[in-house]
Amino acid sequence: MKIWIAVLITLLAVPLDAWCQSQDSKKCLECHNPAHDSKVTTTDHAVHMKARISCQTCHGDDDVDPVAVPAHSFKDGFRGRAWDLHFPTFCRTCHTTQADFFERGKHGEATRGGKIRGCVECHNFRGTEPLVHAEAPRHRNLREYCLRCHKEGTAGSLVGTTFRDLFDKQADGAGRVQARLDMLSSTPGVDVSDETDRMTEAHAGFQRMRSAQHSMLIDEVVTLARDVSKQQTSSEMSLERKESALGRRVVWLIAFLLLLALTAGVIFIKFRRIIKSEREKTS
Amino acid sequence: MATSSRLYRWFDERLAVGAFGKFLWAQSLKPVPKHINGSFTLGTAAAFLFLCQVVTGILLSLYYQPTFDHAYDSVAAINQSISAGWLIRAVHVWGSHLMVLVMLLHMIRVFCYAGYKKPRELTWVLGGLLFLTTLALCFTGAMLPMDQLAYWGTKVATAILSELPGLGHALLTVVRGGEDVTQTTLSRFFILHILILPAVVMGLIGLHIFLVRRLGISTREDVDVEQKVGYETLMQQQGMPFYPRHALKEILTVIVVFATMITLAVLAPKGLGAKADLMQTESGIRPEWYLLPFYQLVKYFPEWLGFLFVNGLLLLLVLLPFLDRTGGRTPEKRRKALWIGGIVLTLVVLVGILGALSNREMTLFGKRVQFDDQGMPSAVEKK
Repeated sequence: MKIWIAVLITLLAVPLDAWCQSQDSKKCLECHNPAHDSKVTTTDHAVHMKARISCQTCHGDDDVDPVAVPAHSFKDGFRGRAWDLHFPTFCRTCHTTQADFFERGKHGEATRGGKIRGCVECHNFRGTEPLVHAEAPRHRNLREYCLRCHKEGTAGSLVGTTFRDLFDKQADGAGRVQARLDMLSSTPGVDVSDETDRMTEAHAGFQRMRSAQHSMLIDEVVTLARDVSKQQTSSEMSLERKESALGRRVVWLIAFLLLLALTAGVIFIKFRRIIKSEREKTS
Repeated sequence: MATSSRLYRWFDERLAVGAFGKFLWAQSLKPVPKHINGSFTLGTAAAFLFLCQVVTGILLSLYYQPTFDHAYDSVAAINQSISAGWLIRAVHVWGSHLMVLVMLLHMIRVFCYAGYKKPRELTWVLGGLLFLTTLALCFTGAMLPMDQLAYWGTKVATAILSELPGLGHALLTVVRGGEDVTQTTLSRFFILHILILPAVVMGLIGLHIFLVRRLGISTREDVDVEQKVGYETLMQQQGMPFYPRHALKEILTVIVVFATMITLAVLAPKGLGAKADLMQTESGIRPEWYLLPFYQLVKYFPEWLGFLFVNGLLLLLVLLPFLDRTGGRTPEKRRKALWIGGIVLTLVVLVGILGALSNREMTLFGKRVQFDDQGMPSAVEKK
């Protein structure tokens, strides 16, 4: 068992070390290393880790000289454990739009009433566990997660199911159109700049949807989803037209080759007649 | 008098259209040897392809912007958004490939029929220069799209010049217009590609055709027999008028070449790589197929020796009529020359294949094989 724990700790230490080495928080690891501190864990997939955000971004302190003493000094900007702070105020530092939507909705209301713990209620924060850099709830079993508070068949669970279906549908549609777009954009003679613009808009709309879902206001998200669908559908139809135009190229080519063959045939017959008449003249 | 007749008279009085027509008609009736077959139409096919290059080149230059910042975007616009731009560019690119191929086949045909022998040495030399100028046209044109391959290909290819002892650096500076490949290089290549080299090709084609018409297509007789009896006498005995028999073959060849070019352009249009990044070296730079033998040969020699060797080979090709002074024209009398020619051609093709394979990894007969810089294969060990 001890061996497995050691292996696990080493495996966790490698990505964390690689991450922190490249940041301004090398010193933090000297003590807060998974090898010594069981509260420090992270994974390669953690969104904050992928975004290369340093320890100081959330925990504060002097990032120019992050040595042991000033690192824990409130005077030098140390904020302590991030989960002790009020959410979503802390997360708002970076995620402004999401925090705005969150506060407008029922979850915001519940947070203000002290019933739930704000962002971390859904984003990978489980009671006694330490704060692992936030991961989207979609990476985990969302159904199981929401059902902790919302019983199946209640309005809350309905909103969750609707959101999940909407997002799945949009993501599938976007993937399908993008694959077509990639194929056609590398084909000479096919201008897909309009479709690319529309898909960029659709992607921005999808991002707005992702932010708006924090409000849990179903109408708002559905309206946004409709706009995204409209952009995706019009792009897809336009790409379909361009694909069939691509097929027509071959038809035009065959027609052109037939015309050339016909011309060659006519010239051949004409010349054979001339040659024959000349031969008759000579004989 | 009908309007058309009046118009003809008006022009004839001023431009002697009738006299010119009569001259052309007399030319078309000029006898050619009876043995000439379809392979004797390749010269006309090459001239036709050059004409296509001129027309498509003019159309492309209406949109192309020869500046470092805008060249790539203008080619991308030609390829994607300008009506039929992709087709014009594809015809231009495939036309250049076909032109080189047809010229090569034409030269092989002339060699096989010993058409370069006295008194047609100069016709061959001009043809050889025409071929080299065409290669230069292709090389200068390859830089113009300014994608990664175009930029780094030019950089690598021009760098070979600097290896020449003494003159090398000066030559490099003249070609690039400085130490590095810059806007000046692009301007120089553009002017060479659209103005200077096409003018040279046109001049050489004119002279080449003039000599072909003046000296006629070589007979199957030995050089001394042709000289002694006289070409005109031989043609009276065993010739036939160019029109209509051979003219028909020429027209049909042109139609076939045109159909091939359009088919290739439509079915395999030329794409565009990533925009040239001056800080990001492109790996796997390889020239077009017709330059692969030269590209590979240079690798087998230390430094400037490779450059000299390749140029020496090209010089030998151009000066072939002065190296082969024998008088026979039939294959029976030229066995040695045909063997040497065949071996050289096979070696050139093999070296070209090695060039295409070099620095690549591929699966052959179910085994993973890696080809080194010299084109030598070695099995890849499984990890």
